[in-house]
Amino acid sequence: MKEQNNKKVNSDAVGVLTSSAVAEWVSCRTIGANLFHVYKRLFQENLVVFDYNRALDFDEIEQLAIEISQKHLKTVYFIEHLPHPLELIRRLLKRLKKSEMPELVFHIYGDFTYYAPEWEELLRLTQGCRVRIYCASHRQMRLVQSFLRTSPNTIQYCPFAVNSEFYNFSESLRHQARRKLNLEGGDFVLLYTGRISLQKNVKMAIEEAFRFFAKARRRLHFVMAGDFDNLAAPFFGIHHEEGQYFQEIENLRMQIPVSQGRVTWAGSLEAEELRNVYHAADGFISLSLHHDEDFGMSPAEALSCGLPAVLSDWGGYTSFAGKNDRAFLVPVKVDNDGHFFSQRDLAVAFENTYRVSRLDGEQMSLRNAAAEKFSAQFSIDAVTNVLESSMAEPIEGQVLDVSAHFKTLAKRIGLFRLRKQPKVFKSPREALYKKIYGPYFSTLKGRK
Amino acid sequence: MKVRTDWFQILDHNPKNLFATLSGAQQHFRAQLDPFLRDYISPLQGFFVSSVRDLKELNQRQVWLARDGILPLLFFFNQFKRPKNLKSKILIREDLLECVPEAWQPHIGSYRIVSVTSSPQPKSVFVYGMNTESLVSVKSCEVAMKDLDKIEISGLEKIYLYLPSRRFSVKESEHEAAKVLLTVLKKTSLQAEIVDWAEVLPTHDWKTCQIVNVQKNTVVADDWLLHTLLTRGASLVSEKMRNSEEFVYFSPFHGCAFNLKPSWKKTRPKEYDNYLREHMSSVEMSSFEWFQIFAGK
Repeated sequence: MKEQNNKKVNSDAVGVLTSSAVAEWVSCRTIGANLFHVYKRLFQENLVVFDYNRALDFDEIEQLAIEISQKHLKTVYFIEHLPHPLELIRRLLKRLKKSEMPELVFHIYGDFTYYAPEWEELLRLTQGCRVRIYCASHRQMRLVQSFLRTSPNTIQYCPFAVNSEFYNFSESLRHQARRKLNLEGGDFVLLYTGRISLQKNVKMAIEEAFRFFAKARRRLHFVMAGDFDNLAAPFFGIHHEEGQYFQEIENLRMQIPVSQGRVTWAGSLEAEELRNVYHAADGFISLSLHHDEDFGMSPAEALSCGLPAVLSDWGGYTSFAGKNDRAFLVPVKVDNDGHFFSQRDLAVAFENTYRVSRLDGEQMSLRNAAAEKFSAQFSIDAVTNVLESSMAEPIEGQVLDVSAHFKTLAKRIGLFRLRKQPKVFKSPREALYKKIYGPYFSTLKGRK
Repeated sequence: MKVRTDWFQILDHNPKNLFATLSGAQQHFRAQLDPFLRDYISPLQGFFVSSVRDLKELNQRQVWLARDGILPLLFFFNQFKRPKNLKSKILIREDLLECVPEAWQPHIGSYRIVSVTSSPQPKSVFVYGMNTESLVSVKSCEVAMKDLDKIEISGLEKIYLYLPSRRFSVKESEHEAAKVLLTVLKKTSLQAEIVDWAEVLPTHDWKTCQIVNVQKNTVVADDWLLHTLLTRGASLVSEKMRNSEEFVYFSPFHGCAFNLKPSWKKTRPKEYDNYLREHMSSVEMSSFEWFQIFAGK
């Protein structure tokens, strides 16, 4: 699939803040780079690039603020995950009156809630400035809308872009990759990519996949690609010791009878190798309940390679199912004992993924068509179009007020960071938790 | 049927204190040694022998991995002269085998931590150890720096040093270890940077990083930081597997090679008193007091 030619929306100089420092999260490295690509296309020589990175000290941030304020930019775009814009905005506001401030456009990331104290302050400081907030998914948009009272069109949807020039589908590459990775047998290859973490429920995904495939008397090869981490679920006070999740999964792996299939770990892969496993696999799975799951770059890349996918109906994943008949969502429910999925819902999603994959096996052009369909919504081209039409409207939005529950969250996060509170939420049944993350569920009352 | 997510299944699996609750002084001591004494999870349950009050407590597992260095081990063997009523085996670091009294030998195995992958051409080296004479001596630095000699210097881009100073010593020579390291490193004309492990942990490319531990085994023989770095793909200059050893993975990148029946003929157990005296000479009184508190004596 060919991306469209470069575009240009206006002739005023605009600024974009990129970061030369390596982002901590792998997905954020891709997201930042792809968004920068989009902005370069949109503004070409009118784009003034600034390096706003974590290594800058206060003097350097001050210097950057001076530089930005002297350029008389029409708009400043914040596209990177970190550093948080607050420090820079504080300094810009010292130099410029609100009426002189450039339009401020923020692409927010999944940890908007974690940075609630910073966002609360930033949004308070910028009241009276022209602001636009781009959310990467519809669920995230609802989440942010529930926190803020704004003038119309302040909060808008703009997905993160997938490089579909790279992540697409090629039948010959699939054959090569399967040969190279020794996946030519009859086992169904179900792939998980991303951090192997409690937050992502990988262990449960393996257990449930084997339960389904064993019951259907089908052999399964579950492939994981990514690094293990021990981040656990700190919002609920659940912490992991070093190596804990690895041991949990290793124990599970050892218990799976050879007759049912196997689990393999492909390591943390470079982009080229990652594309190969997406091609070699028959299906993708991620049952993540990560609170920062505003988009889901791993499922997006998998879907961009035409894979059918079992996905938790959670946060940003839900947006993949919109016009896509290959993202099979499993509703997330919550009761007194915490989050859960229904085994029946999981079985339906597995069966659908398996069925689609078998159809692909008979006619690979189906997978190619699915990859193209997905790219039409999430490629760099598609996101360029989304932003272009969004920018046709003047940026006149304003944040008028911040909700009481967002302020409460900000306060709790502040205490949590100072270790004055061991957890942010007592349990998922807590009213505040449901109020904050309700928009990420499909099953909470009034959220459908 | 409800399928519980990993989040709330795992609550029961959170590790708890295995043995006696630590006193305030012990907790303070542990804080001084942070992050080295932090807990990690492995199939061979790591523990500190110095926290055992009754040997029967150990019978809840067949095999244990002792994370203690030589001093706590000596205190332990002194306190429990014979392995009475003990059914399990304790693995101790192989270079500490010689401190094991004869009566204990049938209950002792050996272990060493090894990388299963190694970067053929490391781009960085992470040198770490407590910058305190009692824990990282000039001599131990020089010994450990021999590991650096085994690394191909030509491709190296950076050397990181993590050498925290803590309240273990009052001697003026406290900073000698760091000085020695920096002097050695300057000779290699490499760029050495003193860092905090927590700052570089999230973003450094550990898969191309070689670890050099300059810490003596005085207090800790198996430290958390090493596991944390190896879990992220860093590698040790380590020996190859031996036929007599078994192996368990601690992470995809490293694990523990252990021998339940080490050869005792090659090592002669020294008398406890001699050994303790030998180590005492390199440890100042203030530190020794801490060790006593640590060992709960």
